[in-house]
Amino acid sequence: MAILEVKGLRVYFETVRGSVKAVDDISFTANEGEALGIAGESGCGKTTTALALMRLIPKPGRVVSGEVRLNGKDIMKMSEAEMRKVRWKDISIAFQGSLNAFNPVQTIGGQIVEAIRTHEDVSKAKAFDRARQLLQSVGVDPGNADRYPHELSGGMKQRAMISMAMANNPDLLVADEPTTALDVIVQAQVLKLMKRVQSKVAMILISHDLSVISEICDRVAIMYAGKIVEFGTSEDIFSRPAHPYTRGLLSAFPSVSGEKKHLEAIKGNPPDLLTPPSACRFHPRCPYYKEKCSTVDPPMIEVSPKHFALCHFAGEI
Amino acid sequence: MAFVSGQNLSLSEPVAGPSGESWSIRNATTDLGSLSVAYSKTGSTGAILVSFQKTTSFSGTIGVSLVRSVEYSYPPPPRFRVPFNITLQKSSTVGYRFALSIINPNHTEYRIWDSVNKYSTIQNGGGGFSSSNLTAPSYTIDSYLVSPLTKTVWFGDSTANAAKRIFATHGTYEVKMGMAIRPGLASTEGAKFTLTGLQVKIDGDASGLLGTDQLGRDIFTQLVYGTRWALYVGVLSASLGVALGLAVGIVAGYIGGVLDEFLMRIADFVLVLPFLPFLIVLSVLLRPSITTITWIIAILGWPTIARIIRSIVIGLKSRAFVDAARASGASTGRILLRHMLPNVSPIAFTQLVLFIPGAIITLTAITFLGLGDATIVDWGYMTNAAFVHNFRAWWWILPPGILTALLSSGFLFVGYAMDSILNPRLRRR
Repeated sequence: MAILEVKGLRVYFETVRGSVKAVDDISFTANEGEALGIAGESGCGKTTTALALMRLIPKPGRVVSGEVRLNGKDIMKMSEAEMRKVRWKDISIAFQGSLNAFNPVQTIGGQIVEAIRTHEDVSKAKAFDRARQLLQSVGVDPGNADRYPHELSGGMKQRAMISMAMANNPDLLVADEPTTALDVIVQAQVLKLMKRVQSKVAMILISHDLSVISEICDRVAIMYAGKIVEFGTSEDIFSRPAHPYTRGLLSAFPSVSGEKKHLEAIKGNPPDLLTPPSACRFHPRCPYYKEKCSTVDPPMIEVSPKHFALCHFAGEI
Repeated sequence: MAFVSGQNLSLSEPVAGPSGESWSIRNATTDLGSLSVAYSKTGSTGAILVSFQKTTSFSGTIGVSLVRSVEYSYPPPPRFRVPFNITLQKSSTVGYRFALSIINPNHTEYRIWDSVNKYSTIQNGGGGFSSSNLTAPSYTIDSYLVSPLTKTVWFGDSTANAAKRIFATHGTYEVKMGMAIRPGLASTEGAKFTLTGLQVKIDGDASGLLGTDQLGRDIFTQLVYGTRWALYVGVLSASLGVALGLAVGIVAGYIGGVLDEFLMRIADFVLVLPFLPFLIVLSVLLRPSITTITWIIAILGWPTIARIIRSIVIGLKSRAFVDAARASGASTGRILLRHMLPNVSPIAFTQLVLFIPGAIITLTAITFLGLGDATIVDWGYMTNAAFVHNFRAWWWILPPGILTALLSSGFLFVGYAMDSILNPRLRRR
């Protein structure tokens, strides 16, 4: 069952030089008991998408159009007060750069307690007990509840952040770059934790790290320049990529088990979102470029069942 | 005449008091019953007990005067005080009257206080013979208000200083407390008076640790008392100013936009107000009390704090934990109180301590200019008084200035120390 349905979401940042189309007409669904990965290079709109789901787009950004249905209700139409109730209870987020996501002058436990008590009418002592259990469940010594953020290591903070995101048993957890800025050993621990968490709630995992996505996610959306260019199961995306960008992305990524080959970078630079390329946004960098690509908007083509790609020549190339 | 306990006084022989002065009685009338006067050497002045018991059925007045000798061999003093205390036990219909005089070596008598005198504040005593119980407090005679017993001495010369007139010559002076009792008709009536603490205090122009001011008030006492106002105004106005600045700074910095713009323009407006002219206008409009001065200093001081706090909050706002708090459903008020306030409070505390010296100096300046609360004596008032009297003594003008400087720099050093501990950029390892 779909917990989250996003239809035609557009987020623009209004600047003096014009509007930056950070997220431009994207649609996807996230299902119960499933992990959805959103991948793409820096600046393609992954984090903006995550923030839009929480309705936390910072100024001067704004959601121009689109529906975000959480359990059937459109959160874009909710009042700020209603939205406050939804946050953390129905949808929660573990932030990118969680190392900074705790208030430096409040204890870890205190902040988890605050998150719990904002939504549930429980005593401080009870909430604190729960905070300790939550920390334990993510493999952080519950004694750390009384500690301040600077007393914890990066990995511990990241795990504490995930436990805080889980504090009110949300239906959907958005994890924005949960493993970025962590060393590989801690990354592995956090990934293990994410897998465990994933068995309990629906999750949207945002990462530029394809290996993390392939490890955890059932379905994957690849974003490029504010658009979802390919959407399908992990199997489809990683073994039968249909969009030239996905292919480029995959070949720019080393494989441990596969044959040794030269890593190929995608030529050119990510586009300027103030004046994105016409029609297919990938066309200036695409090795399969044809005339049509710069004049006609590419359609979403269903390459195989439930495997879509935004390319005129999907399935052909 | 029958005398009771203690060392009895007789008309002929004076008794020596604790400080070597002599006590005696005069003009005792005893025709209505028995009168006894006893002296005991308690306290620094001794106590005199006067007991009367009526034995006849006639009515009339009986009286006795208690006299104390005082040696005075100095130039005429600017002022003197006569403190005393009378307690009274009597039958309800007994009336009384007391009068205090000073007799100079030339036997001129000056009445300086009378219980029917309109200047006295003795309870129920205003009507002369009164029949109510009375415990007189300690009285201080203001020499300017004394009216002499012999009116002719003062005729046409009422503004002259009584103290200088009375103590014009050297020699033995006498302080006389006259008491008159008028019992009712019943033959069993009686009364008892106790007079204690009768002294003549003559302050010179330089008494106490730092001498006295133009009105004979002890300067050291004023100095000590002034500390209270410096601390009171300093700490209170700093707290108010910082609280105001903190509130405005956090709200303006976090909410931003039009509100920020609006609040900062108000802050700019207050910042450019010329302090002294503003104060002079205010002191004309409002009656300046210590409370209004405190508020004025706070109100003129908050914009600086607000600007500092605002800039820090703008920095904090972009930190991920604010997003995290918002994402977890925290309202704006909660973020301001739980996340912003604790993060800026170290800086606020430093600013609070650094605010105090400015407030103290401002208070001193205001009162020095005579724009302050006229009912309190603080360091600025003292400096003003010394200034008005042409800096007559360095120990009058310097101590308040030195204390102002010391107290201010004390707070300043604490503030700098806090700043270098709490401000990461200044922290030395």
